[in-house]
Amino acid sequence: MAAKGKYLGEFEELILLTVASLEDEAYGVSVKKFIDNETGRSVNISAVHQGLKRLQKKGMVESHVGGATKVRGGRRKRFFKITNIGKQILQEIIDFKMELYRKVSDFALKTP
Amino acid sequence: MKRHRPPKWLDRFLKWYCDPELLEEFQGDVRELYFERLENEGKFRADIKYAYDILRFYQWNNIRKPGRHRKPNRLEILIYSGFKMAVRNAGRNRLSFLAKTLTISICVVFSLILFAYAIQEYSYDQFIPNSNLVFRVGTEVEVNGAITKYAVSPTALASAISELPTIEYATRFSCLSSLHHYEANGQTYYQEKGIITDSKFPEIFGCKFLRGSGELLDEPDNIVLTLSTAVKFFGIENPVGKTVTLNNGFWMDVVGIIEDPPGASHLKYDMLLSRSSFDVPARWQDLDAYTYCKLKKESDIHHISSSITQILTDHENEITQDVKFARGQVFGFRPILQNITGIHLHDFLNEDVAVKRDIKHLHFIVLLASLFYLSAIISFLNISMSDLTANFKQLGILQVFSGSSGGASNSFLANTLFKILLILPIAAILLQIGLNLTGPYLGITIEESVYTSKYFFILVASLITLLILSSKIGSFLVVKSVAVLDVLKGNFNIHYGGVRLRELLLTVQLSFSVLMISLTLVILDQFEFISKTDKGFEDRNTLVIKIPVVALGSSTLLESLEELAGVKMASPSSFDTDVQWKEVFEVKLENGVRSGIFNYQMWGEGFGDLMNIEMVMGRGFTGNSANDKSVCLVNQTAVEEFGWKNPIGKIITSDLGETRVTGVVKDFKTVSIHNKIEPMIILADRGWSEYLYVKLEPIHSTNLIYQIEKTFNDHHAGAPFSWNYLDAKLFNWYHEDYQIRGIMNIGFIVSIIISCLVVFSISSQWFMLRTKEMSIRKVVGAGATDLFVRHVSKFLKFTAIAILIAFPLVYYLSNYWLQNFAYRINLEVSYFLVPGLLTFLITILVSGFHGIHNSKINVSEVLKES
Repeated sequence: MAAKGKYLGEFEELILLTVASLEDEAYGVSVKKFIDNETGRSVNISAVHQGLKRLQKKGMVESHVGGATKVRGGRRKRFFKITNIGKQILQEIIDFKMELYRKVSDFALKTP
Repeated sequence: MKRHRPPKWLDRFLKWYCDPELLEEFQGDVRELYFERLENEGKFRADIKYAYDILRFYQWNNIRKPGRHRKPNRLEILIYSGFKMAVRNAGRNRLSFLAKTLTISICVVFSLILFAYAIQEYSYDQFIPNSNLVFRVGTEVEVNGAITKYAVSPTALASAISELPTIEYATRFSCLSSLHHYEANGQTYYQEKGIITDSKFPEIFGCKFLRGSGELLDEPDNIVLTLSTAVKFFGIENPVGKTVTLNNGFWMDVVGIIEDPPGASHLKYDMLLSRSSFDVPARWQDLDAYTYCKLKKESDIHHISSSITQILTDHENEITQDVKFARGQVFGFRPILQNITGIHLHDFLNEDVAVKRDIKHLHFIVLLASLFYLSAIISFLNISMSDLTANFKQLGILQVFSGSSGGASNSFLANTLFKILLILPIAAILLQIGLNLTGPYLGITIEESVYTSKYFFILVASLITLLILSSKIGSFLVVKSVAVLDVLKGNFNIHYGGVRLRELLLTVQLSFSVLMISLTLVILDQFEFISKTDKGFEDRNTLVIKIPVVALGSSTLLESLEELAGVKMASPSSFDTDVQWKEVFEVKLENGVRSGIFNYQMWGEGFGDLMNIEMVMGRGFTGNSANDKSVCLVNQTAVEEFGWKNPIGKIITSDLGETRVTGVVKDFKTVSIHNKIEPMIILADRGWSEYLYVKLEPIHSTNLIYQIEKTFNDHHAGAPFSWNYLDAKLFNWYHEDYQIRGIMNIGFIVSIIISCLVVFSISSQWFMLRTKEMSIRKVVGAGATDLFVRHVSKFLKFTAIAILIAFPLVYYLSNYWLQNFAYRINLEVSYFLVPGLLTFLITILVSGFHGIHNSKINVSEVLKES
């Protein structure tokens, strides 16, 4: 499990996974759309920003400012990229979940 | 087709609350979403969702924190860059910058100390409540047209004037000198100053009672002590209710403790004694009370003065009733009303006990302080401008950057602020050091309260304001006159306003130096004159011992002292270097009689020989007290004043009896040479003389003073052995003059350092600006000497102008100072020539440094570079 301070909430984990998936194209709107599409739940752009900010503070993502685009009224995008720490944490979470999953018997997972 | 946009007010709201670091990305994202929704869902829904996004983002973490992300404005950026430039410049020429800063700091500190001292002197007695209403009443006595001014007035005057409707109350007091002794807690004390008065004194003088009250001073046998005296007498015990014994004859109960009188009080005292304990009746004939009154508000002082004049005139007969030969003489008595805050700076009156300061000296100090103050500002401006003009290129870039001269001006301001920020702490440290040094070396002590006074605050604030203002003016002149293009191209044209102004400042600075050198020379010569002036007596190897009241008239001590090896002779005398004794005398002239108030002294047997005062006619006292009481001596001035052809045998009468002149002594000084020698009548000692003069052999044992003290103590056990060398006592005559001399000496050095600095900085600038010109001159055949002269001669022109400006000032100020002396040096041409030549020499030496560089200029390198 991740150490204290590196704890990831469910939504943060979702955002981190999204950033990792989008590779170089992860920014506020793209993350929101990806989650919307992949999970079917509608998330607010403000919540995405909060999540990205928290992940950056924890050192799991890093950001850089891209070029200006017309559609945004000349405002630049901030692109996010997963860091090594982020990758490591994500891996740990997946391993942990897999381990737990393996401990569950086949019988228990069968639907009646 | 109409192009839709998100609602502006939402954008403005977002901009208002959002942290600037997050604004761009978030706004970009919500806009991107808005336009998508606009296309898919329509404007209404897009607007609603846009508003929802923005409102959701309004969270603590995302809102703008006050002051954190404020964008500095252009002025701040420029000041910051100017500040950086100033720091860099200072770092590049560390030594020169330190020297300049230190010199200006010294100048500032010196002027501040002098101003603080002047503030202290001007604010004497202002701590007294309603001080504008408190007046001292002295007396102007006129005898046959001759006027004598006294600080005292008849003892009956206070009660008479307190009945005037415009007077709130009045008080009188007499002083007990340090010769009296007090006993408290079994210990004896001698040095305390007592004041015999009533309950109105604490009210008029604003005494703050820590214990008890002043009302009991109207009842007999009561005493009020100052805090320091109470601690001295009784330690930490509560002194109220305890007893203090005066001269073994008066037992006084302590009824109150007051705070010590402040340093800036013209009256110094250690205790107040109730007058009703002593036999001090209110009589018109006793002209020896110090009278103070407090006026009612809005009283007319002229009206009060005429009322008091009337009172004195009404009692004229009573005032003169004890003067034996008053009949037939014309007397006149008028009050001298002095506001209490003006007493300290007013002329010395006879029998004055106030702490005094010559106002002319004070004016001189204020003038010097102002000169240093101005000099500090001028030097500051000059040096700042030199720094700025040394950075012409930066100036040009700054002008371009800011689009106007404002940028350079701000940079100049930043430079100034940087220097002020450096100068202030240095000045504060120097001020502390200076105050520790001015006490012992200049006799200047300043109370801490002066530094917290509004006047000092205004002074410092005005100094800072003037420094900033001068730098603004300087920057305006420099910046306006510099052509940006020329500067950036590297073409330095030296005919610009900055240099002109600096030349003017240089001239003023040099004038200041000439003035200081001249005044220092005049003052030194006057001191030389003072030391060489014949005092008319021998002051070396002479001891002056104060005789305690209980021992007055005793001759046993004198005999014992004369038996000591190393003591040549001893004699009592009333000759006091600090006080002139005066009395009403009637003098028989060749034809007729003249009455008047004249100086007198009492001499013991052999005092004239002890002091080596020459007898020019007749004989001195014989030592036979019965005979000596009927004879007197006079000085040469008295003989001239009375118009005697043959003074021997002439009769002089006073309340002390009728005496016949038996001899004339050569004129001798009884006061400093600030005053003229006045007629002096010398009577034989009647046992009242307060001093014992002891002449020592030139070669005597080192422990002779100890032996004299031992002999003194054998005769007057417990009495303080208060003594001094006569020549040391005479030093007090010129105490204030020595102070001025000390100030001038420091001013002399500082002014020369500043002038050197200014000449050097301008010289280096000229050198820099004219390197190419000099190289070309060298190429076309100018010799090294020619280049040297060309550089230095420019300074000589300004020095000559400076000297011409300084001369009238030198003449006026020298005369102003010398007018204080009745005997003085004449102002000769040398006092003008020598400082002029000296200033020329300094200018040549300092500017010559760059002059030599000019002559050694490496032509090929300079021309290659350009």
